[in-house]
Amino acid sequence: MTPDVPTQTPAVLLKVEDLVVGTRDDQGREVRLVDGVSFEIAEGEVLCIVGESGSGKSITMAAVLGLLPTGVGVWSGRVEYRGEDLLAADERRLRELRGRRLAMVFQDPMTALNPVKRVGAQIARSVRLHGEGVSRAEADRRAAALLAAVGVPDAAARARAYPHQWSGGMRQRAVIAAAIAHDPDLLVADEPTTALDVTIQAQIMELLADARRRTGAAMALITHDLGLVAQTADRIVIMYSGRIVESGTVWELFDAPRHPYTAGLLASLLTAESASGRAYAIPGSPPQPAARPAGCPFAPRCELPAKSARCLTDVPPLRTVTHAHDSACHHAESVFRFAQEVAG
Amino acid sequence: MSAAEPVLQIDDLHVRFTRRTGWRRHHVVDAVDGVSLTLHRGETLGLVGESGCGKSTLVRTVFGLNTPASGDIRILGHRIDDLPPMQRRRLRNRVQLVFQDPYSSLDPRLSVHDIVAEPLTIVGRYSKDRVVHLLESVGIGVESLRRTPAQFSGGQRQRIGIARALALDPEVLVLDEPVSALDVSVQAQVINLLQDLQREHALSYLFIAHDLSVVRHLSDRVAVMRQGRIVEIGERDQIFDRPQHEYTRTLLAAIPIPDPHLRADAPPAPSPALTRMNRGTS
Repeated sequence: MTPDVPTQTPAVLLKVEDLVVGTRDDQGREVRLVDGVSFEIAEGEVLCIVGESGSGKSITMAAVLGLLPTGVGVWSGRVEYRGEDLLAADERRLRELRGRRLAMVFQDPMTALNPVKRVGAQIARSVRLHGEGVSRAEADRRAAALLAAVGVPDAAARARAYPHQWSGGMRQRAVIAAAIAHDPDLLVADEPTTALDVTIQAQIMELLADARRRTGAAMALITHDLGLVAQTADRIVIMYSGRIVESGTVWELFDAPRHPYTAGLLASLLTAESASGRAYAIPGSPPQPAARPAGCPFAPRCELPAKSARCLTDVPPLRTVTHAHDSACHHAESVFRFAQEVAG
Repeated sequence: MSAAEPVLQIDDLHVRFTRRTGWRRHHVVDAVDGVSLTLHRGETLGLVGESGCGKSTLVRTVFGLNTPASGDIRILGHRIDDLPPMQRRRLRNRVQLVFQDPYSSLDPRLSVHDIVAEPLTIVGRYSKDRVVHLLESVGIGVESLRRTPAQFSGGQRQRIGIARALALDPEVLVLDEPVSALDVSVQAQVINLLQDLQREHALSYLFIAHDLSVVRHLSDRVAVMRQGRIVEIGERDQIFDRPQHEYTRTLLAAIPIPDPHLRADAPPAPSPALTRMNRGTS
């Protein structure tokens, strides 16, 4: 991916092109939740999709997996999984793909688990549903093995317990066990550790990394935590107000952000160096999807010295600034200096 | 810092919960198991711990929502239990709480004015000027007085919650995860506001959080709580740079550091000068 390290480009696993996802508000007006998003995920890579609430990061992946809530729909665009058009796929095919190839791990494991069924039985069911000719006994055995693989102690006995008898961290392990049951190509993890304590978070992230090593799966990690991103991403997509504002390798984005939003986020991180000093704070708050400003969505909060009249009128397109590093800022070339200044 | 007068003292506090586990069988949980903490005027004491460690029970007990099994809570040197009800209430007003979730902690039917005016009206000290002044001090303009919480962003709602907590001129603010429900880009604003207010009003903060980077940024001293006990307490730098307790070390090691150059698979970092040169910005 980088010019100085010529490597064979891995095959594209998932390709999203100009995706527009929308809904109607209570007055019947059209609201674009995701507004023209394009990105690719290569086989085996970790793509982090970073954004705040309302940025469209979760909706984007829900659209890819055919899991949009009622009333929200894909208005235009294209989603391809290994060349197959996912937006044209029927529910049966999508369910098959989600069960075997595109596995999901959500923020709250309780929503993924059935509260009235034993944990082991749920995983065994997933093993049987999406696997051919697996006997019940074999499925139970596989379920216990999967639970053991994700670090559930005394898995065979615990498998007989109900989800409420498990701790949050253990439940998330169970969800990951079900997700990796069929060696998926892609793990979609939407804020998988937000509901968990830090020490448990570290264990779950290590477990996800281990699951990827085991299966060779790519991962789309949806998160707002830049610490997690720095520790896990190969590439990063930064979303703001329904659009991608910057994308590039983890090194490029952390070392030389090309969008003032990214630069501001990095500068506002509280680190050992910032202790007791004053943190940089991006002024204002993110716009509501129904009330996006004209022009650049970040312009009202932008403190880039180069900010111009054009920012308030023209939507900046996502363009390549340096190799494999895209920014949707009219003044992307001047962000680096700004980033240095706000970082202090 | 230790020379300053203590504003909130918790001494060997025990809080027990009894749970029925069967017929004539009870299970006793020591949610707070002998905690002693002293908060001095103008200082920020960070209280760190994971879910279930007892930090929320501790807070509820300070505000009189749980009855301690034993131990003392002193506000400005007075034992609350010793005082007659009127004075007890007056003393309790010296300590105010800022809630974690600004979406559920403000009454959705009240205007911003009414939310901030409520505590003032209760003690008979209401004036509109005071309400306006309080809101301005947290960066909410006078034009917003008649709006309801739903018309504000999360960060603004948390500002309103802070204004309400400041209404009765408290000595102590107990900040229970005050930024963890906010968007990342807004957290720094609220943290800066808290620092400014502390300086202006000589406030003392008991700052409860699970996010260690926020605790490090705000706290003078840090206490680490686990299973109802304080396992380690000390100056901020001592806790973060030279943690003594095994559990503190585990907590610190679990924070993901927002710098990709510190990962296991990181290539050697180029010098900043070289980076600048490569980008043609020097």
